[in-house]
Amino acid sequence: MEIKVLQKILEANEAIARENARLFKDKGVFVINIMSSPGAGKTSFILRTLEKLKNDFKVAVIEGDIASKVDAEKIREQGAPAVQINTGGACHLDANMIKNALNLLNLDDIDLLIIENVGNLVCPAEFNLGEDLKLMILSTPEGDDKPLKYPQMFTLCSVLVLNKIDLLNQTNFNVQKVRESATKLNANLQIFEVSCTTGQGINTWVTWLKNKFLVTR
Amino acid sequence: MHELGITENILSIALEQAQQRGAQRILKIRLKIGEMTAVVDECIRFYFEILSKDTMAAGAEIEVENVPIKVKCPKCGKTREASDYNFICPQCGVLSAEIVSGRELYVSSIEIE
Repeated sequence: MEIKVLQKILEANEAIARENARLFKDKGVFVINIMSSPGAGKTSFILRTLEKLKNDFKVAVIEGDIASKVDAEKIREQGAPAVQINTGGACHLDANMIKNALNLLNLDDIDLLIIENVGNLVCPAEFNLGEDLKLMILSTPEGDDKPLKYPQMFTLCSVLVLNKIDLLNQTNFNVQKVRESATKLNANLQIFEVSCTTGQGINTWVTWLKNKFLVTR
Repeated sequence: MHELGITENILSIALEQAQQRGAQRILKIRLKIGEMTAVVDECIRFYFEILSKDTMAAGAEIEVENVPIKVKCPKCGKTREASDYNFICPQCGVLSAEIVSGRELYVSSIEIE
């Protein structure tokens, strides 16, 4: 006997993501989900962003990694509350992990919550967390062919950060080519060129984020 | 690697549906998977075999219908296949396109006895 099911495979995750989103909205918390390959500079980017925002906004961070606590420790050194999620092998964060991590944060005391996803350009794309903004980082040494190789991520994110722009002349990374191929996949993509080492471009990004936050909230 | 989590969800959806109908065994599970999801059928079958071992879904066949990427031009309204991820409309050159299909990820039906 055949039974029609027509059920979304990730509906369980979607339901929790909607729950998270409702909670964030109620509490007036703006949430960013940051995704990239390992080593693209997610943590450095968060630290740079924190540095600029910490006097005006209350920022907290959820760090997702397969193992270790090193990233959360770096964030706490900057004076921001940080929760470390160790996925123990899972290649992405899901909505339930975020829901559980929220027990360790006081949302009444947070304006902006930054979630650092597990380093991976494929899997995190499928799992909504309840965030307001999906952001991806691509660093210049990774190569300019990434929009062609990982198109799904580029279509889902609304912000693309090109990091390690200070290393541009040591790589064959073509910024124009990436801008073109990424925009072809996602015409509304906001693109920022930054260096977390020199601080180049960080102000432009933070100003954009502040505006986005004020408009959304 | 996200196929592991996805397969866990497939199994629990199938088991729930089958239990509700008092089934003895699940023979087949039909899935609809969009090309854009980057979900690999073979990985699902591999994980499914391991996860379903001691359940009534053990030995069930996984049948996958892959759904191609289709986009719709917001200007001329034409829908076409875009499996090469070329979203630019060949007629009007408009950059942005509405993704009509290719993101599907669901269990369409199951066969039980």
